[in-house]
Amino acid sequence: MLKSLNQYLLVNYPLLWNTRFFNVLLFAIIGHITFFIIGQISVHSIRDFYDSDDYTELFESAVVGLYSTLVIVLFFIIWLIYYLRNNPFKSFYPVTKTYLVKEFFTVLFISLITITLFNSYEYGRHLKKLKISTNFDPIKESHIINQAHCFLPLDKFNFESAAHCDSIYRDIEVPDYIPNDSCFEGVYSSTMDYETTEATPVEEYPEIAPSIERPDFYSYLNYCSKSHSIDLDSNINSAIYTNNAHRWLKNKQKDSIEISLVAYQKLLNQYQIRNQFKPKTLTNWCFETPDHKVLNDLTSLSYYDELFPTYQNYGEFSYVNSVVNEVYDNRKESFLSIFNWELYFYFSLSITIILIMFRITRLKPWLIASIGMGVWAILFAILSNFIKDNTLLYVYLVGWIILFSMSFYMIKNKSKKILSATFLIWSIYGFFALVLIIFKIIEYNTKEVKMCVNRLWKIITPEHPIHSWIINNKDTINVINITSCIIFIVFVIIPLAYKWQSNPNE
Amino acid sequence: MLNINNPMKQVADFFNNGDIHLGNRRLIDCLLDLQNVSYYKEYLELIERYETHKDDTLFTKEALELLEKIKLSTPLNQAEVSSSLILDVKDLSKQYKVSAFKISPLSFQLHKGEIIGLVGENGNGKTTLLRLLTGDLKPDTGTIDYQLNSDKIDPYLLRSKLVYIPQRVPRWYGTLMDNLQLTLTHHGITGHDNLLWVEMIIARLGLRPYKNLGWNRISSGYRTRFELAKSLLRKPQIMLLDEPLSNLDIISQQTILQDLKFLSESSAQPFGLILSSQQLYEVEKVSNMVIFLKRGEAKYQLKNNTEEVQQLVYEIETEASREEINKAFGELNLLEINYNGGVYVIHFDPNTPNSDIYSCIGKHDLKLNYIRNITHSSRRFFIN
Repeated sequence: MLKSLNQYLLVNYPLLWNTRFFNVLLFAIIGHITFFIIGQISVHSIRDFYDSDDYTELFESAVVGLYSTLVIVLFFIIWLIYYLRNNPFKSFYPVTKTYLVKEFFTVLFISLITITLFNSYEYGRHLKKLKISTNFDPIKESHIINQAHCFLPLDKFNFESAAHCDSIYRDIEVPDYIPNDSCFEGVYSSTMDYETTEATPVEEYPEIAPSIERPDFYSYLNYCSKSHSIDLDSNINSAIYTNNAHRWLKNKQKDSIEISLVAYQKLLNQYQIRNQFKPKTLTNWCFETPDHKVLNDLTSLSYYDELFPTYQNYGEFSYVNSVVNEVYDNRKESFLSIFNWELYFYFSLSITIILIMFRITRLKPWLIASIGMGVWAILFAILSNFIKDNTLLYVYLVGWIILFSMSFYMIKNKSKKILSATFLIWSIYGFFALVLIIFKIIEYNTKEVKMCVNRLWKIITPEHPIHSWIINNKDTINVINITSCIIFIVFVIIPLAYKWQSNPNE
Repeated sequence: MLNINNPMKQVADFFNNGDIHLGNRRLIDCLLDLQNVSYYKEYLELIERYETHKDDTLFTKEALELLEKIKLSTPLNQAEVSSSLILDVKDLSKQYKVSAFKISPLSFQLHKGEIIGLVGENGNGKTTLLRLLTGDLKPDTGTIDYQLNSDKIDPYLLRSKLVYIPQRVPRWYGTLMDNLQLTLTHHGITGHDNLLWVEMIIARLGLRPYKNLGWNRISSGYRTRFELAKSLLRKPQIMLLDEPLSNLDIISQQTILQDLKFLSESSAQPFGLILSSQQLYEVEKVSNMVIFLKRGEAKYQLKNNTEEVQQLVYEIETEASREEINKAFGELNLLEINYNGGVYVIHFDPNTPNSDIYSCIGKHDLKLNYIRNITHSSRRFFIN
């Protein structure tokens, strides 16, 4: 069937035949389905959620990543053997510029659908995780965890004295730095580094400092941390949990504490996190002394720990945070957020440009330009150590304009075919960074400029709105860059290459 | 003026005289000229049967029947085309920057259906001239005017109309059939017709047994035939061939040259052909003009030259010594003797009768291996 299809393409759609389009499409479909299934299979149960921080997933992803890279490399080798067999443009068949444009987009599409195999693996994992965690409510669960952790004596450090507790708050809640008004004489820009300040005393942030009395020993009253990084509900101030705990302890609301711990244990069981403790026992531990001293230990074990039977009260408590976070993050993700489009587009566009330039010019200039590009990159890297960043950007911009003008002039005047092709290839290779560099130059020139007058800052030039737009729209800038690259190839490089091909050699 | 009527008569004559292979080739030429694919299918079935049964009589009968059929259905008298001018070269010259070699200004014209032979020793500018004509080199002076039935076209499309086969045929990949089909698709013939056209050209150039083979599995001679097949599918108006005979055996050389002559005179797709070769006599046989290049300078030799003969020139290969030759032809108006590569080139007064020369040979019993009158051949220019 594929043979008949190829025969049909050969006599009707030579470009699709030459690029083995449908063979590639079939390969890509099978490849994506395979990697999608591998992704689905790699998540067996809810336990795989909290293994995600372990080496197991890292190893599994690395193996799948390596495997997909190997498959892609092998695919490209085999595909190139067929693709490079025939070149109607170099054979002077009556092809038009439109044909070359179509060839460019076909190769771009082929590159894109093949290099994204690994993405299907990740998407497969993502969908399976979504399916498994459909009935879970991570925000609600984060409240349960945060509240229950006030009564889990996993680490005595969390129940230390008040001073320690304050320092925890300080570490967590240091506000954004507000620059000091004083300065040295001279002109400064907003991108310059400032000295960091001392941590601000916790008393200055009353909303996070519960007005509770803290004993000077390990006590449930001292608990002032929330469980690790669980903070999924932005409407809730984390201090509420410690306030609740403090109130329940003071008012001897054993039922409330026990309900909290029961909910927590239910959560652990829901996520298949192994545990052994009785909520009632843990509740009683809180009231063993009138000042709620922490006298017992609850053992936190890892998935690989084989010592379960030796402990009376234990659990894989650390996993509960990661699993809830994972469920939450997974739910927020979409196909596009998993699909690292910028990376894939840049990569497939690079492959396409390299291949197309080889197809429409010759081996010699292509080799000179490709190796030369590496030399240019090294040269710029060295120069960047000696020249200020923005100066180097101008050097790049001017250099590119010279190269492109030379190429344009030579092709129009039918002179020096090898050199003109080398410059042409450099023009498109260099164009890849050109738009980004132009934006960088604009960013430099539109930022706020301040001057230090009488040890006080004075704004000389206010920041242009475009400056913050550039900083906040990196994605849009990448879209502009990729689009301009494609436009430049379609409307400038291909017509020039078309002209170049018909030029005499000597 | 070219006419399809004569080829049809030729085909019938070839078949009737038992010259089946030549008849078959000319039959294909006629069919290709008609450009009616329904006949292609009929012919391909016919050749298929012939290849299976190897029955010459049956094949001849069926071929003649097919010929009669196309004769009846085709208004032959209207199938004429004019041999119009397609290439006008004026004062063309080129000097390489890195060497002193130079093509001195040369001018000539090429019409549809004509063949120009390009001869000369190695390194005397044949390939340079072909590369100039194909646009691969930029001339220093002069003009090349291609009159290709099209308004101003862009340089790429112009070059796509100049079919040039270099001396070293570039390697190709895949099967012969795939390559030919791809070529034809790019030249506008798609779908089922594509297959029929390619099969016809393959049959025309004797490539049927090799059509599913790749580069490595066919000889260099058949590679040349493949290039010719590919070029013909491109419907050329000007074809430039650089040493196309160099990889062919003597029989194939004659066959290919004869085929080129026939094909260039096609009534439907006539083209002008310029070919360079070292096979002087073979090229002269089919060429309307021969350009002899020596150190970049051209001498022109027209077929049926009516210019006054300056000298009567004979080429003789003999075991006799120069003294014996001098003695034998001494009584004639002997102007000059050149000895070159085992043969003598002897120049006589233009008024010397040919019979006197043969009489002298007989009288002095000169043992000849070979004798040829080269008075009108560019062979006379090849003298050290």
